[in-house]
Amino acid sequence: MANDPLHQFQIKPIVDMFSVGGMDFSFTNSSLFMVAAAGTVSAILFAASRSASLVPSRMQSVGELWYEFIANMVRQTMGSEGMKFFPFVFTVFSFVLMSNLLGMFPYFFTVTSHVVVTAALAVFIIAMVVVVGLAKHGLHFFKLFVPSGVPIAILPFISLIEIISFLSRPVSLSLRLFGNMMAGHIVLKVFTGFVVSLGALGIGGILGALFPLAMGVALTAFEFLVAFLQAFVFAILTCVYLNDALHPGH
Amino acid sequence: MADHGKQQGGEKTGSERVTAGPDKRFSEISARIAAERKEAEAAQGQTGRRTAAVGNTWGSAFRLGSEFVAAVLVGGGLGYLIDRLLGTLPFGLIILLLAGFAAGILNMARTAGRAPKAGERLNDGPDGPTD
Repeated sequence: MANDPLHQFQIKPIVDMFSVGGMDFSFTNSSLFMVAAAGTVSAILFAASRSASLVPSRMQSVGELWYEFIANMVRQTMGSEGMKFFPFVFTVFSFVLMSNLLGMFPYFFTVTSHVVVTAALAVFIIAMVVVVGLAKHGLHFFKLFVPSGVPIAILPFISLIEIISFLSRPVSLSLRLFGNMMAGHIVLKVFTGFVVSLGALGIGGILGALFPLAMGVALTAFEFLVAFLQAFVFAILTCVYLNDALHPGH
Repeated sequence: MADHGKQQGGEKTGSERVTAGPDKRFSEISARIAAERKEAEAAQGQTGRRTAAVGNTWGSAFRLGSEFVAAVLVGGGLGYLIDRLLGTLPFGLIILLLAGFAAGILNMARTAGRAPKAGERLNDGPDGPTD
């Protein structure tokens, strides 16, 4: 069972709570790591802002770097008007990044490796785009699906394609994050599993096990890159989609 | 660390010289910080741009593939759902799967910057921009 690469994604209830209408509301290992991700982010940012000074301490530099990274991203994609959404984008980015990074610890659970979590985030983001777009532009927002200057004969087909294109946004947003995190963890587990099984074969096996071991080291580094990159991509696409709703005449 | 020590030492002599004019010393330090920051930004601009470019190629490579697959999945799913509701099984699935394929191509073209973004059209309407 220890070599099963899918074992790490199992959800286990930690505290049995209640269930409403067949839905289980137990506190699981997934919930635990969601709380841990939110708690870690809060702790780091609290430590960063505890003693603010003109010459920043190490922790304060981390906080400032973090803030400026997201603030620049929001300003570049949405303009300074988009800073209204900075707290939201910052929260999404921090939560996804910390979940991905916490998942890199051995025996830790990766929250973002479950499609339910990433889909919930993506659906929430798209719902927000629709609500903001409708609030700002009213029914004019639906012109998003009706391009101007298209002959009336092919307009229904074009609109259909536009609608599918819009509906595919939450799907691609959630599948990308989920797929990257799950695939990365499986590949890492499979390769490092080879080290154990080859090592049991005696001296030749131990020599042979050096290759998957090197692969495991390289993949670990690669996974850190992916963990950061996917959080970044998730956040920047949130900005891009919100920008569509915010000022369409960009 | 070395900078830290130097700064603290500098501050000590600064407080000794408070009578010599703290404003002058303050503007001196501000000018030094501004110069250092400009230098650091120039240095960071090059490496920063390079890492951002690497990140963007990775990011857009992942994006292109998933945008296409997602649109095909959504098209197929929508077609199957309509068929389930209306009982016209193969036809809605076939048509919407093809539409999903087209939407996937459109998504990829938009991601690559080869087609105008959906939002850019809101302005071209007969009533013009709303805000």
